[in-house]
Amino acid sequence: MEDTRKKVIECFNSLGFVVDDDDTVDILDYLDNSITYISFIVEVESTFDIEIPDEYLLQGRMRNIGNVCDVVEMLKKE
Amino acid sequence: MELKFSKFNHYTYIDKTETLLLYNKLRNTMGYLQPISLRNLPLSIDTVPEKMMGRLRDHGFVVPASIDESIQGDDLHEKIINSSSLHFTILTSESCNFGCQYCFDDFQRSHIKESVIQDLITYAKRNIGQYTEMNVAWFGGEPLLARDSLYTLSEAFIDICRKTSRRYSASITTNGYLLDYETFKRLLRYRVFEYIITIDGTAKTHNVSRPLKNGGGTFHKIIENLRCIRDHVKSQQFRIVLRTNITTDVLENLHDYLSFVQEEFGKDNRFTYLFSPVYDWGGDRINAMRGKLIDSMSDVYATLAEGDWQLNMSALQGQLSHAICSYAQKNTYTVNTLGDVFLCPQLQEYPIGKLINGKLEIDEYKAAYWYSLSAKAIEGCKSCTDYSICKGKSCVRNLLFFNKNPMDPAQLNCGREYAYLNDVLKVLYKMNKDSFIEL
Repeated sequence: MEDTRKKVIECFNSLGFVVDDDDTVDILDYLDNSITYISFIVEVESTFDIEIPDEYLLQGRMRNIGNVCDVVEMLKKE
Repeated sequence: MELKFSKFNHYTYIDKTETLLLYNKLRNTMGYLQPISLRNLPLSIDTVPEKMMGRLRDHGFVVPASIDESIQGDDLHEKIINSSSLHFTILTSESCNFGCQYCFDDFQRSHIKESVIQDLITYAKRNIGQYTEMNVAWFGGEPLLARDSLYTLSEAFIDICRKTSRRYSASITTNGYLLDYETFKRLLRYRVFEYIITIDGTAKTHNVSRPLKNGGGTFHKIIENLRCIRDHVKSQQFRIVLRTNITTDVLENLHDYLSFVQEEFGKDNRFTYLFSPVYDWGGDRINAMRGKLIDSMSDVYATLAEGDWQLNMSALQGQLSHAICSYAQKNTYTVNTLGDVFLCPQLQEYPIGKLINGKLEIDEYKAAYWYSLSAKAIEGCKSCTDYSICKGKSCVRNLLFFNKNPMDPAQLNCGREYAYLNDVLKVLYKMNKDSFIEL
């Protein structure tokens, strides 16, 4: 899980954002438009070789780094 | 192919040697040639020997007759204005330990607020991806009065830029009094590569114009700090710009000052020099010394060109390339200790926005007014050959004059070094001949 967190934070870095490793931070403060949001999802998918289903995006399940890590871990197990 | 001289060329002769100096404002290139058949200005393209023509063409002093160089000027202007770098000038302290004779500031404020520090960091974290690099100019007041804040911000910015693979660099404008060895080493570690320090001549004049608030002298401590850096810092990555503000008193003692800096720092190329008149930036103090303001820089440049001094004048050379003020670029913001945002530190009567909750809330109309400014309404500008590269943006303060109705062309601030281009080129040719291309 720690490795996943580190890689998710690096996904932000590679898009030009520096996010604190803190689950109280709302990642939508960084990904504040649809292009950056989708870019982030693509970066995560490519980093972990997974495909994040649309419903996860629509349901707003990923609001902080912890949420993103949970989704990644779950999809990796499938 | 039919050829012509570039319209951005500037020419001046060095009388005794019959050497012709050329400077191209568009390409920022300098050259020299022994005129032989080119004894009279304006030059005629037909009298240029073929061998010389090749070199003149290679370096852009001669161009095809068919081209309109204004288009290249417009293009250069656009490239400079639309900078992709994030440039913050940060006033870490609006207080000062000096009581300079000519300073416009009343230093009513103190150090940068903690909330502003956090807002700057948050802004950089969320937005650095929009920019290719980040550059910070530490400014004041005296920025080193709030060293800890400067260190905190530097560490955060460097970390943000490292994580996002952006370049980071910084400069500082300081009076030099607090720039001891340890502070300098730490600043260098924080990628502060340029230090702009004012020394107003020898101790005799400097201590009068730039005393401590309590009236005490400052010259010897600043010089001790600089000697320590010169002798104990091995890095070649930085440069120290010694800037001298000229009054009639300083001018009278200029020979002594130049001999002093030649002796102390002349052999160290990390030190370079700038000279500037004392300007009336407002405030009350300037009124007491109005009789000491100089009308022209010609005597200063003549002194530099005529003496035996051999100083690194790269800072002066750098000023030549500033047809547009660096503060005129987009993504360039000055932030004061309260989080107010300005175009430049000299325009604090004209805020364009505020830093709030990690966001730059910029008044888009005010910003657009400046960025889109075209000085075509000014008669003098229309006929100026530099118009396409400058467009009235040589100084951000011109904005104030453009805002006045009716506009007063006499107030327009053209590039200061351009006004003394003949003199400046002669100084550079004497001191930094390697920068001139042999044509």
